Amino acid sequence: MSTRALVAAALFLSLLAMCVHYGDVAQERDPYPTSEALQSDYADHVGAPFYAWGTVVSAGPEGIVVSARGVTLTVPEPVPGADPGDSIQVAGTLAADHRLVAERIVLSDETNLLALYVVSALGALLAVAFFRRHWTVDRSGWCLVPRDRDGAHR
Amino acid sequence: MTDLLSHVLAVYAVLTVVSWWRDGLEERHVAVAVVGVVLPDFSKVFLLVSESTISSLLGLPFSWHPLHRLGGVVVLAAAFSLLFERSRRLQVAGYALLGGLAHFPLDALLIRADGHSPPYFYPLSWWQPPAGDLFLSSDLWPVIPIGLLAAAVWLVDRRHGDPRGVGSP
Repeated sequence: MSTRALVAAALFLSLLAMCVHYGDVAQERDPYPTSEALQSDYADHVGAPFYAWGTVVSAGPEGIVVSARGVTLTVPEPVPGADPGDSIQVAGTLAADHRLVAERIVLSDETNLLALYVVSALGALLAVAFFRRHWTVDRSGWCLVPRDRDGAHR
Repeated sequence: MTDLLSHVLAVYAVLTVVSWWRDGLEERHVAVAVVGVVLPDFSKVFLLVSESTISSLLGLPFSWHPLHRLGGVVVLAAAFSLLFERSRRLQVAGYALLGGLAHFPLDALLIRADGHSPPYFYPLSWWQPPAGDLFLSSDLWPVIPIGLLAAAVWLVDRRHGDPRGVGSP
């Protein structure tokens, strides 16, 4: 096995170890109740601070209903501009009957998210095009080398 | 996340300006850093393969988030450098890492309802920097000033190469 393959395998394993460790520890370090905890015993967490990204289920003048962390929460205050399907961040305190006393609500328009992905794809294409302007594949060694080996670039 | 176009243009603009003063920083190195700034967004692979799918396959907890953290960027930059000829790998890893790390300051400006950015320094630290609260991840307006800056830098770079030399005998 070549050195390059060994290093690649070591890097892959170290990344995998981080992904597993993070998945294992992140929930324990989370200062807010997990989806499992909320689903199993919501009443036990009444009064606890809460923050999550979620989705607007319904919106009206009396408030909004949000799906976040595996539970559906009612925020009893109108949120201007909120529509079903919008992404939303909610921070506040959990109250009885699956209500959230919100301290801060941040709304993301769903149509903007689609535009975000389109613009980001453009960014990725630009990065690849810029990179290919300067680097090419050396088929003899199957590695990337400068397109201009004589260093004519600034 | 901030849109990727803003990340790419910001790194291009900053490093191109730095290259005017720093000998040895060539446009091809800027191109490597521009790819580096894309690396943290590999964490968006969760849109294709969910964490729960991998977790059930492995029988272990799993998160894609480390790809968007310091540790993941170090590993991805090193892995990226393996694609290059041996003599250039260290340099490429350095510029790819520089680009990857440049991803975080812009993302730290995002609005977070709880006021905290993610723990970008994982696995060194779980500290969560305060959120910049400047724009939403779905806002596209940041690309306008950053794009104008990048366009201005590109124009100056094309016309004069090294602005330090403009007007000098």
